[in-house]
Amino acid sequence: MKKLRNLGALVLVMALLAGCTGNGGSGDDNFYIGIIVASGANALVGQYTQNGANMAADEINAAGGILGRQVVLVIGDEIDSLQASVDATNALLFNDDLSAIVGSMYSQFALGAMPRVYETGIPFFAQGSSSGISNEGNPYVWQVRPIDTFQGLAIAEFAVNVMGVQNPAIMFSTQHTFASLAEQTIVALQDLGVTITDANRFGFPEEETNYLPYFAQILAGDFDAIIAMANQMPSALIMEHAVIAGVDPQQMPLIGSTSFGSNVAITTAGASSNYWYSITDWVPGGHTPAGRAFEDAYVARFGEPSDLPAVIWYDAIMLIRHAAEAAGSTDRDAINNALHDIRNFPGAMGYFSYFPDQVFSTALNITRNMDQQVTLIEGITFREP
Amino acid sequence: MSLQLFSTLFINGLAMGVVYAMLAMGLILLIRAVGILNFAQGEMFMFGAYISAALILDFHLPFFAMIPVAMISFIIVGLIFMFTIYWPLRKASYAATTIIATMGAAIVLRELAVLIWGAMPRSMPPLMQTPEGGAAILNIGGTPLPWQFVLIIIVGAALMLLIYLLFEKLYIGKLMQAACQNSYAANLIGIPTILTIAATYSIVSILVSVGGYMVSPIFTVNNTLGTMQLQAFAGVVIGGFGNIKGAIIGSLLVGLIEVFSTINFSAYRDVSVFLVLIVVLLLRPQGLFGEKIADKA
Repeated sequence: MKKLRNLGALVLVMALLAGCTGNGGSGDDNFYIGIIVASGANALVGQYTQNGANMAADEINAAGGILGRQVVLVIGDEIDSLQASVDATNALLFNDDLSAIVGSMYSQFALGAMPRVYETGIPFFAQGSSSGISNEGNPYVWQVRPIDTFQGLAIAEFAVNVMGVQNPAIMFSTQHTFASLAEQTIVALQDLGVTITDANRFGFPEEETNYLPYFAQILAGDFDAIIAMANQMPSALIMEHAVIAGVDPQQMPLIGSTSFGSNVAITTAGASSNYWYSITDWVPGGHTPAGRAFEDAYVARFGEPSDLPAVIWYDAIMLIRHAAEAAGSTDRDAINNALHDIRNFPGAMGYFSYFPDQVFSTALNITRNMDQQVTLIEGITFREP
Repeated sequence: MSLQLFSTLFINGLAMGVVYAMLAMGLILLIRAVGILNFAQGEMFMFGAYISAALILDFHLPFFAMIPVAMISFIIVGLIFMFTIYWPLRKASYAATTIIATMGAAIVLRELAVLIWGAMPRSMPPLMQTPEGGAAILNIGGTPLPWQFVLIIIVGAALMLLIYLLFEKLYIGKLMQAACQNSYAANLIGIPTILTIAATYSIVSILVSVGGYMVSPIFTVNNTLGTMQLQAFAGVVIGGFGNIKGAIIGSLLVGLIEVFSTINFSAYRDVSVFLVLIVVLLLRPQGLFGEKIADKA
């Protein structure tokens, strides 16, 4: 009897859990979009993500929804691990109500879910910047951010052509995304005539918290610049530790990947963030009217500047809306096909167009942190929208 | 390698080793007192940093007022932890029950920190500052050393020495450990074991929380600070499970290996630490100072 009762309880719990994921097919007239948000160690990214997604959904709903249907966001929490991310994404992939999914910001997490995306045939926005995602050639996977191929080239060209760098120390997280970005940057630097050997490379584990030993070695060498690539929190620590280690930005230009110009990194690093250049996907306010409108609305609603996760979720949902309305359907295939017809779409990050690599982005920004604020130096269009 | 680079790396590694040693020592004290491996030790370390940040940044307490308030807060955190995690499960049939509960507590503490203080990391001012508010640098023979690292070494070493003397040399410390290890006998002679266990939890909480406070100006206050626990575990295993001296030396070794492995093997920093761990386990499974534990057990 006791066993039977336990079994009954187990079945009830399973049924409740299944009900929570909403797999049953609601049959109502809403337009469902699945979004992956982070928590745990990546809670801050998750907060920005949710803000950007809510802004997009509310804006669309206030304007009458998509094809007259109200947008409803179905949330999957990837916490901060690969396994949790794949589980959360799979839960969304099994949800028949969804018309599209905006997936993880972390490329390696998104890559883990991609085989299932192919099987289910749902338009899926991978929010990472790894070229590995695009190289998979999955017809249902899209990216809104500039992938590392473009970022690496932009970093190298800025370092060599603008800053005159000839012997940089390259610090990078060995996480998939940044190892890939480092390789792309090194190839681009070598194409520009800069010799890069193992001595120039300073890879570190993603969990690294102590960058002072790296700076001690860099200062003991004869490097003429530091190029650093990492996520937001490591970026903040790198900027702080550069100051503690005594790196002089007047003698040694400091160039970072997109996170070095992020609100999170600058707020955390405080005055230590000053003087860092960054090649960023997003600078609050962007360089287009749509970017400025997004930023104004974000600040009005949340009382602080936006950050990259907010804008890429906002833009991805706006692209889904545009494709669904162009297709005149909520059908997954119709939306996926319509994404192929995107041309010169005015996103907050810049103008988006379809390219065979399924990466919509066409622009990057060169910024510099001064007085604990990111300042746009120049917007770069790396391919015509 | 120049002497200047060597000195910089050595001090850095030693400071990190002291931080790991504080965590490791806390682990050993709890293992000895209640026989439980506390997987939430790193999160108590993190909570120490958050509480200190709140007192300094939110309540603007001056340093000498902050210290006693922080100590009382650390003790309260330790006691809450003890009475919510350890105490209800102390008579569980399986020791693993409490250990798994500490794993759950680690997750709860991490998320609690975000709920209370938000997800944005907090920057803490260094203890020694330049007139501009930056981190003060100690210059020894042309070698620049951040003062914060020097202070971590001094404060950490002093605190560990005090606790070592208390538990290893003083009668009261031995009494506390004995009472924790054999509560039946202790109760028979009139020692309330709840007090000795509570005292141990309070001491451990102070030790690891001070560690969290000391590192926060370098690593910022964020909910991932607790991951340093992993290196402390490695230090405990290398030194010999259950031995305070071994845990300290093992942790110092881990700190130094970690820092020096950034030369040429930076991408494999963690690998080098755990490679040493495996070699030690292969050659000396009981750890560097493991024999003494066997004797004591």
